[in-house]
Amino acid sequence: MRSLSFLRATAILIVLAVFFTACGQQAAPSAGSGAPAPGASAPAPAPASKAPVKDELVLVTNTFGNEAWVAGLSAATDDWLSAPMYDMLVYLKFGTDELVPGLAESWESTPDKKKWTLHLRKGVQFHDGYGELTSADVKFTIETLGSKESVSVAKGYFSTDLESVETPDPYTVIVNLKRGDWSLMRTWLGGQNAYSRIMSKKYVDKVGLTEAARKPIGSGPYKFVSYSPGESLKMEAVPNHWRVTPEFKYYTVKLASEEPTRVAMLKSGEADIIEVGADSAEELRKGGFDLRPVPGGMYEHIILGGQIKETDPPYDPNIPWFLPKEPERALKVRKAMNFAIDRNAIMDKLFHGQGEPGAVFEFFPGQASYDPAWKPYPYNPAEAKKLLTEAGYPNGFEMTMNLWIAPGRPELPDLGEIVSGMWEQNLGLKIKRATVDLAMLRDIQVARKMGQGALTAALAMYAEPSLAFNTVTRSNSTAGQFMSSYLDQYIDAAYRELDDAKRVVATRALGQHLYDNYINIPIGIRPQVYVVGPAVGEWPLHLGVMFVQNPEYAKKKR
Amino acid sequence: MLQALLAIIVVAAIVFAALRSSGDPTLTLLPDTATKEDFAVMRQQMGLDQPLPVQFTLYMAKVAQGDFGTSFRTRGSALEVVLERFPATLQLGLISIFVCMLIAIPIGVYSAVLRGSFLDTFARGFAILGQSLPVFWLGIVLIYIFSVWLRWLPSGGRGEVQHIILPAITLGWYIAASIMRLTRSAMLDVLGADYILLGRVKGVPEWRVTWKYAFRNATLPVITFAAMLFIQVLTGSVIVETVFAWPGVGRLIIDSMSKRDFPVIQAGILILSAMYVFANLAVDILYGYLNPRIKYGK
Repeated sequence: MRSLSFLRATAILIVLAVFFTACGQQAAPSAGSGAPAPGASAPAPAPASKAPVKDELVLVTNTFGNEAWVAGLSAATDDWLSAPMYDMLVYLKFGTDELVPGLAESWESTPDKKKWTLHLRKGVQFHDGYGELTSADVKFTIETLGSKESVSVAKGYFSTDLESVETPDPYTVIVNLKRGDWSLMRTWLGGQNAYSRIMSKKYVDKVGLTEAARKPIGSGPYKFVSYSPGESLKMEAVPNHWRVTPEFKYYTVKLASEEPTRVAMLKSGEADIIEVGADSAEELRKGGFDLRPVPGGMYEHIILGGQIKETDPPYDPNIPWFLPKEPERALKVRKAMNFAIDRNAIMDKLFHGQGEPGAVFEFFPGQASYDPAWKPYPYNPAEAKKLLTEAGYPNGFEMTMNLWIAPGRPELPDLGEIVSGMWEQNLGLKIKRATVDLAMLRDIQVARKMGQGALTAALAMYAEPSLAFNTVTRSNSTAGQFMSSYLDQYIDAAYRELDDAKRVVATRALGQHLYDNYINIPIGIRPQVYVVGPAVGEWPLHLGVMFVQNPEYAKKKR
Repeated sequence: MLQALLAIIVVAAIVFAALRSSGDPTLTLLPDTATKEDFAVMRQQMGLDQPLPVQFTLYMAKVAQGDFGTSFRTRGSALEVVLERFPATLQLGLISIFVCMLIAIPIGVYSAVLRGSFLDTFARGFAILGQSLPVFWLGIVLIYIFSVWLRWLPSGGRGEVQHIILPAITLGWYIAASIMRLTRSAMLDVLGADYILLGRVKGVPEWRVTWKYAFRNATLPVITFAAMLFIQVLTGSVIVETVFAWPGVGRLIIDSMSKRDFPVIQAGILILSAMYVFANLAVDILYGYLNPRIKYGK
């Protein structure tokens, strides 16, 4: 009995202690009652009116890619995450597609664009005493990118299109290509991508590429401090850097794959920059946080599968939207599928009005090759049903919708569900859903076995549309987001045109062909959005770069 | 011991075959722009062009020498990649189990001793909640309460002591519930025994009857369960690790599966399987020590 009284008293005391402690430490001003349910709009503590003074900028990301912080072993994600520790040959001017000098102070090419001469900046030093950056390091980096061991996105380019790299002196690099290419500087040696982060040859020769990937040495405005696998990558500002001296003394990238965790870290002040989907971005915007859209945006779209060459093994000439022997009938089906989608509703409801319906996949308003006469296909379910009936499918047909689960793209499965619902309702299609991750998707793409199926996808803005098409949709791309084998002639005519003005005309012709023939299902253009905390002021971003970038240029909010 | 080794080899074979039937890892490792020749070269470098039995034989021969292969992603030793994450998982598991045992065992004991009391009711309610609340949901709610709302604790990651509190509570509540219920149940069985009554009749202090006589005999199932639970915690904490961005082995294996990093997955699962098997062995040995009546035959 005495034990019982003691226990009761102890329990009561504990409850009282918790209660009074909680009352004494209320942190959220005018928060809603009770704890928020997960996923619901949580009462976000409003960002402090006076920005906290802090020395560390913290980005929380959803993936570390290959966790390899060196060119050649990194995926596109880790290219950009580690970019502040390096310098590149050229950069984009913020918010534009204009190239500005980086490590290359100037460059020129022969008229046939096969030979490119780069003149390097003098006096750029690698961190930790690894000496001056010279042409030998540039040559080493380029050759590593194209090597057998490389897994870089630039591997295919440098392994097939690169003839040689010459270094006549320490500050001159000559890149010889097998065929003329206008996009070398813009795409492969900097510009919109971070593949060619120049490494120290001396350092990599000393420790090996694998070790260099874990403890990188670059020449950038931030230098490596520490790396905890699966956890964080910390960098420290380099004073008086030739490019920029970062305002934040430290830059730390942390990994949190779950979006609610990233949101919580932002709200609690543990994170300064996070990447989130449209729903969370809207919630945070309402909670007083700043959204920072990347100029350019992402093109959300649906790819219709099966439009492959006769020589590809899974060739099926009976896919309703393909029918190579009855192109007019197939055109009606594709047109019907496009007319059955309410793009305005999707942009409004799924993306909370962040963006606008698109007319032609991967052609962004404002680009030189964009034709203002292109308008998004209308939403006309009656016309859609009529077209499908005329095409011989009054009761619809069966198909598969592949819902791609991609890190950082939480909206893709929802987009697929919405479009499937619209097609089921408006056209009577019978749609089976299949969830795919990258590995499964690659398998489907390489084997060209999407067949009578579709895929939800999103692609960032490229400097020019023909670049995007040549990279991801050409019929000989190994694992591309393949749309139609009949596009090759248009893609080649555009991408391989070296004259800028003629290339614009040829690219527009590609767009017109897509538009007239309803080749795929463009949905809309929306910005890639980052959400920042109260410590972050001005933060310039590059056009069309879908990865977190330029923390070295971020200013503290004052 | 031989059976334990055989079990591990069987696990290795199953995992090996299952992984290779899940798809071609070069497809995720190489970019869209890679050529067909690039894929073929990489498959050859990884040994994936060999027949499956040959691949497995070569793999096991290397494992026997301590070489678990090279991570497809990081190009480092797969074993090192896994072992790097082990301290985090061990830390989370050990602290969760330790704190839970510290809380759950006394509660379970007194819940049995004071059966029908307020404590007993509270304890059983605590246990039911712990076993029925989804771990994922609980973790997110705790984050919103203690990190976002109250700002007492961090939301995620690993670092100082406060980083482990929420993950340990999330993981530990479920464990504590299980241990509490088992302890209570085992104690109830023992408390009804004649020798307990005899002890009380002879005037032995109640705390001694409870802890020295009753609890000691109720310990066996609890220890077995706790040992197995510890291994389950190590292998199954992936949800907590994901919610709290805790850099443990569970999360590593999940991340590696999406990238088809076979050597890391195999190394991780092999090590965890070995731990499971040897933990079973250790419990069997401990049984014999705790209960001298148990003798293992030849």
